[in-house]
Amino acid sequence: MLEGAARIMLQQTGQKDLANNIYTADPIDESNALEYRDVQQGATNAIPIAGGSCYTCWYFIKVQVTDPKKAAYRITVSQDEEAAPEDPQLVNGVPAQLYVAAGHPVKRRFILDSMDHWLLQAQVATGAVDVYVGLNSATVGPQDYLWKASSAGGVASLAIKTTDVRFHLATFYYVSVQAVSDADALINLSLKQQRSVSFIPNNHDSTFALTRTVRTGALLFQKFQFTSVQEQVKFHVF
Amino acid sequence: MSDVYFRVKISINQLSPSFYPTLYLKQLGFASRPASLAALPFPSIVDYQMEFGGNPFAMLTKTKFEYTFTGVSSQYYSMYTMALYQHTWGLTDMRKSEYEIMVQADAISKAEYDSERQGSSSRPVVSSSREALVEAAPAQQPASALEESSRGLQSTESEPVVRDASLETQPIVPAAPESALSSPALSQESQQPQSSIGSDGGM
Repeated sequence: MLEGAARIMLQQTGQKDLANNIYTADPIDESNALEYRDVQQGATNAIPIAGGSCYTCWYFIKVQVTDPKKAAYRITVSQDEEAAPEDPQLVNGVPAQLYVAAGHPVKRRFILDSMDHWLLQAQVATGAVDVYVGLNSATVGPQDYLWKASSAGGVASLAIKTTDVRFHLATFYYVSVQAVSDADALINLSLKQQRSVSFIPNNHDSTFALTRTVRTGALLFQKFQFTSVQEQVKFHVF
Repeated sequence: MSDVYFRVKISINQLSPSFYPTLYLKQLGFASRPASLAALPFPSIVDYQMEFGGNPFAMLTKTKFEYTFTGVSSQYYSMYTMALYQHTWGLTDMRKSEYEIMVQADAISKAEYDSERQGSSSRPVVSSSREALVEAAPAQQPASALEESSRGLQSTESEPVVRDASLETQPIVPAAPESALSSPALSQESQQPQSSIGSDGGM
């Protein structure tokens, strides 16, 4: 706070904040703020937001000062990188060859920007592996995972549908590959996702609507139909 | 191939309630037709050249959204990839939106292009990834097109969305003369200086 004093308030609305909307997520005062901090002149205060606290969230910040004529401040929103070394990133369509020593899991992470179904595949050259996918780099493994695949016939494969409730847009997922036996393993790990694209011809109306067999009002509502993540982004080319 | 100048108008009609789109675009150029549209580089919320509809508060209650920008291409195949994020801001129980979209692209003269460029503000507003894009895309797209593509952003009500955003305010002082704040070709919405977020307003 450069001059004066202020109260900074934070609220959010996201996929799982079903009771919140853009109006109610605008903090009026501390009573409807998710968190708030008082900042005095010359001081700096911060509100940390955990990356895994919600999915597809929009945050609303309000800075309230008592006298605008005597207030000056600087506000910053920044991404705080993980304290621990990050796992190498697995890129869609780019296979990675991994050597998995027995008892020493190998970790990778990936993030997806579309909600199309995807396939994680480990082609095993030697040995046998279990593949775990979770949300926490530190704990992903047999005790903490969302999806698991074991190599059978030389391939460990995870095919995740777009409707999977655990699949979220723009979320880091962590892969842990573990050798099953005492023997080391050599694998080729690949992530495949084919993006759905709609071409928009020039000067032509294009309508994008739900594709469903029965078109009733009730089916539109999430309580009755969509228990999974909604389609949030559509890709076009023109 | 000589440069081709064009104006693009994107019109979106809301077909389901409380649908508020945010558009992110990238311009691409190719000498030959790309084999797969899905393999093209697409923009995302953190990696784009142009953004439209970035300020949700300016869009609420509207049902029709129109955005216009001009551009230039020196490649035989000029394409835009677009990611359309379908926001409802929690204002409806519907989890999937429906909309109608139309893109009108018309060739314009260089004189028209230049006059619109001169009418726009001199300060481009782009995403945080602009520097990376400029480094990665020179073979794909001339720098002038990148500059021009940022003009489209200024024609909307959008504020820049950056990963490491910083805003500094100062005590309110008497307003500067209007002529110092705006350029004549900008809309009323885009004439507002960035500091209009205010010292006590929500962000």
